Amino acid sequence: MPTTRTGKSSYRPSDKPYPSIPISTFVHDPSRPTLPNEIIRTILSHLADDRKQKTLASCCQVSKQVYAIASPILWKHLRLTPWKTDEDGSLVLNEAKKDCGSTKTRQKNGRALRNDVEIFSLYHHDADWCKSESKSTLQLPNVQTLHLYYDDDILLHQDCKYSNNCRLLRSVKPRTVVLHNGHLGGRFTPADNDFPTQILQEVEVLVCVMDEPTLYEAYVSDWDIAELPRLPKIQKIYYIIDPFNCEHYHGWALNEWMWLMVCGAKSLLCRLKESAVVFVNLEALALFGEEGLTRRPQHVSQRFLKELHDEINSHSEKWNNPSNTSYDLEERKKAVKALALDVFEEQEEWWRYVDKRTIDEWKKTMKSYEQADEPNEENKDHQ
Amino acid sequence: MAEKKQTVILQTSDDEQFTVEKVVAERSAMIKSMMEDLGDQEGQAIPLPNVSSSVLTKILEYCDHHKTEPLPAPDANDADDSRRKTSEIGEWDSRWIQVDQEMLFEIILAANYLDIKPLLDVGCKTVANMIKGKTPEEIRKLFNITNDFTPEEEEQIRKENEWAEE
Repeated sequence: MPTTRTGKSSYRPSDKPYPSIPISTFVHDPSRPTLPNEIIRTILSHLADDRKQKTLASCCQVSKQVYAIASPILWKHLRLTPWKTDEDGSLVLNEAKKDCGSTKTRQKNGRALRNDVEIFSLYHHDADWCKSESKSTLQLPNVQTLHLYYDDDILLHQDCKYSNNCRLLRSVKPRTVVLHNGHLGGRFTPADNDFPTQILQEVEVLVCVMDEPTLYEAYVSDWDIAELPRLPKIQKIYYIIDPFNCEHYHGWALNEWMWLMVCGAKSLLCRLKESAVVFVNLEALALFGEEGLTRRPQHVSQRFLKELHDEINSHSEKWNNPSNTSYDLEERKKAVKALALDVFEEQEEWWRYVDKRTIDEWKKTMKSYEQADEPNEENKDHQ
Repeated sequence: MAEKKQTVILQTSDDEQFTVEKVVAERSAMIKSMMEDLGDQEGQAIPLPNVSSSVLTKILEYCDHHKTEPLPAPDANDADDSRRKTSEIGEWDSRWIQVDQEMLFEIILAANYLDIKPLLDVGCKTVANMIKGKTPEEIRKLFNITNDFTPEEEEQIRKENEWAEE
């Protein structure tokens, strides 16, 4: 289960401080085979996508040889979170990581390690944790992809006062930004100070992974991406529907969700002169609707595109964009794509935006509702 | 000619000879290219000085099971490829690879030498699963590696990677 939205988070301390490192007694046994470095590297690279990076951190302590292999793999993806998941699924503050938001810049090999970071994941946190007021900025010069994980209130910082100056974020200039259950529009404007907008300068791809509550917020804000002027290099925007919170539906029918998506696509087309817009997994909307759990999710993507095209064709005169420069809507509507999850996996570089396990969880969630939809055939087998 | 199954002879490090169907042996990119080099020299054994008969027996079982599958492209991009693929190991493969650790390492080394990419992948994923959640000392035992850090160095490394702790 995604760890960011599993109920209320609390600052209850949960861990005892570290025990000291046990003394190593193991000695190499020459009669047993050993693996060459290239194979150890292949083995450890299979651990790179794991959300829990503890194993790679343990590998770094094994020996100088394994450290040289494991450390670049571990540091390629820096994940900073003050949270861990408790037995009951709630997020609790991890005492072991209490100072991780602040210690990075003082490390002995700090600079070299931080240069290895290409992917940076930052989870929602309190302004105390990142010590926003601190003058020392976390320098991550080679970050290409930034993942931001928002909290249940769709905030990155629980105390907004300092967050637009978050010292962990203010130096990064990523090309890809993935907002996990977050959005840049509406109430998520710079006035709210929850987003250090300077990091958007180089962004070419913006990905919004949205569950039902986030989507509803985007709707309330009329899909206005407030940060668009700060996205001068944007080429592609993805909206990926996360079915995880689908039971929190607002009592809408699928038709209404469809209409919302059509409005969203229209709004984006008017504001983005060149960038492509890709909607992924609209099939999940069938689960959000009031018929939700009983409706078949097939063909939602095709239906969405048809409704969007119909809307463009029948109301083209209303499509004047704010700046009154008319561009060819017939051309622009080709910039909108809607992909089912498996098509997304086939055609797009999905692994840059979401990990395999998340996609598998989504599929499982979707499938469980599909199966619930077909009780007759199941029953037949049992009779 | 068309009816008769084409075979090749493989000779292991302990001088055992195996007569193997060509489609099975071809799973190994290394043997495949050697067969192409040898051409039609019937009866000529291909020496495999790095593979013992017990390991080859086991590996041929794997090759035979997968003989009808398409061979991987020689220039496939490994890093991206492994990401796209599910990290789970196939059902037959995971049963087949349930061997003791020494054999597992021998299989991996042989798969590397014989250049059987999917098998190397299964082996490496299996070891990756084995070390998940293990302590540094347990990983040393598994990899058969002596710790050459001073306690101070080890403590410093633990500190620099504190963010990755559970």
